[in-house]
Amino acid sequence: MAANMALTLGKALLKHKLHLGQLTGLERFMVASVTLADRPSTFLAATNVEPELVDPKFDYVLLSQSVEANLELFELICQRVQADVVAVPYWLGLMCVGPAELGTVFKVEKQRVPYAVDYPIKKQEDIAKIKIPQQATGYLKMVFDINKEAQRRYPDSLFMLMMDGPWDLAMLLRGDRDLPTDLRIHRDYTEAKDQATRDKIRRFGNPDIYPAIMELTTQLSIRIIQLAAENGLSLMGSTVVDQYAAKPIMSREDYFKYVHPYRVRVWEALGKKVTISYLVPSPQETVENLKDPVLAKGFGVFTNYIFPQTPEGVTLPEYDRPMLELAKQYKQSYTYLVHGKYLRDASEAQLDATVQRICGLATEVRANLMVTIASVPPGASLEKANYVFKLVEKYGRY
Amino acid sequence: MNTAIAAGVAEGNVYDMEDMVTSALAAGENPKDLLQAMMAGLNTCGARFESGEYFLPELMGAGEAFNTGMKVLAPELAPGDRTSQGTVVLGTVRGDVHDIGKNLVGFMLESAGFTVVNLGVDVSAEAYAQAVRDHKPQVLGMSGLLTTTMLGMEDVIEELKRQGLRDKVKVIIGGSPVSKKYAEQIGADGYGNDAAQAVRLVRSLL
Repeated sequence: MAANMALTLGKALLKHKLHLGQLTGLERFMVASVTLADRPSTFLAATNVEPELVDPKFDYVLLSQSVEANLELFELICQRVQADVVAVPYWLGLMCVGPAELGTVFKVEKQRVPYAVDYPIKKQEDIAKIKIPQQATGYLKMVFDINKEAQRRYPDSLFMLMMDGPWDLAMLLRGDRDLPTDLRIHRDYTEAKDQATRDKIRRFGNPDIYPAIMELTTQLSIRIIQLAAENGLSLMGSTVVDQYAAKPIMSREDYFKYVHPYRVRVWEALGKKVTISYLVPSPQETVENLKDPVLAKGFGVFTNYIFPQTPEGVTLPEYDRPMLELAKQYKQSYTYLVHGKYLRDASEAQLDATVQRICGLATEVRANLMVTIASVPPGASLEKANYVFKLVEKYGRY
Repeated sequence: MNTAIAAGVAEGNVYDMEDMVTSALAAGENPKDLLQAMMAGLNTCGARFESGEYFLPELMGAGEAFNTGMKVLAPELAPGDRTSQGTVVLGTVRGDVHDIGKNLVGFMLESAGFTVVNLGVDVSAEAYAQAVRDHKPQVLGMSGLLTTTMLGMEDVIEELKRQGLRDKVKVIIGGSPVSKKYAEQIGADGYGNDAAQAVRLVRSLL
């Protein structure tokens, strides 16, 4: 797999440099990882398209039961959308990262993406009851099977694995109300100046549960990604995601003290083959990330994902030029998300102006840009998403 | 004002709050003044969150410190000591279990002196309407994080109309998929882009 990709990259670079015809989507995507491509690339995570917008016969109950239904839906989206790369061919919500097999209870309803309703870690004793899996089962196995089959059917596409890191997995096993409290009590205990204070803290809570949970989820995170590899998936381009370890959930200081060390262990245990993204809300913090050898690479480094937005759902425009200049400096792409609510609410003229502006900036700065759509929600349509991608073709010549 | 108690709440000192309030009461401090100090602490914490200095664990800590102090203080307060800027009912709409954003809004409103009735998550249209009957709030706030569940906000407004309650309460909505356009479309009175805006929005409606 890695050898195939290296070959594809080599061919794509030759084709691009010698002007031997138009780049395919995957080729453009790969060229952009090395040098300036012919135009900004476009990307769509199929899972972010509401299934009923493609065909009402697809619902989340069916998609949680059938590998083939996921692949069929993916095929329909590939046919109707002209993005350079269409990936993430499954619709299982957060069940895709493995918690359902570890005791988290998900509600699966026809019209709503599966969501967690109960968590297995209620007290410290529950941690030991969760065993590190020896093999993939249930929904996790289903995700691997879908990915593997999609890779077989679409060899010219790219299926990057995105799995939860220790913090996000802990949120799914402990719950998003308790884990931040566990962290606070642990932090207060660890940073207490004297034993009397530590004793007092123990009367109000358990400072040991946080590191115990994170130790477990670190091992789980490593094992789940190992299982992906054992099930035939490539780790190339794979990312360990802890999107809830970012602002405004926690400070950068807390992240580096209480989350990052666990993530580094995952990264090292996997031979540094996966990237460890850390989302930040500004170009200034992106610069900080770039100083860190672990955080400096990967999907989440140059993205507007959690940058401040206008009420309409557009990233504040003043953030784009600094990000493009940084992307150019570091020879990477600025991943510009068109947020779902903007796609839904904006008129074609508004979308046109937005895409024209960001593509214009990218061509002016001569930095690689990747335009993607965060979600295609009810009220929007695949055609509207496609309209955005066509606008990139229209405005995005370098 | 008891600045130590205000700082204790602001900094989420859950562990000393009970002792601090007990000592202050024993020293003869006025319970109403202590309540004001605790409210000032919440307010400081809210302001620090808004300015990007504090984050979720700090907010939760301040809320917990406030509640710990109130367990000691509440029996000592006279009727009328606890003034409220108004009552706000909050909940996450049916089918959606995202709690964090709504709780942040609740914290910011409480820190500004509002009484908040938090209905939790996965709240049905009927439960919202019942809460309006029970608590008679000035404002009803709905949160949703999913583009699919936010559609339930319209059902809640319809239910309020059906039960003759719509003109008795202002309705505000929030959550990342929600927009001003959607608020106007479903007949909500206001929309907030983030938790920090919630207080300004609620004040503007009263």
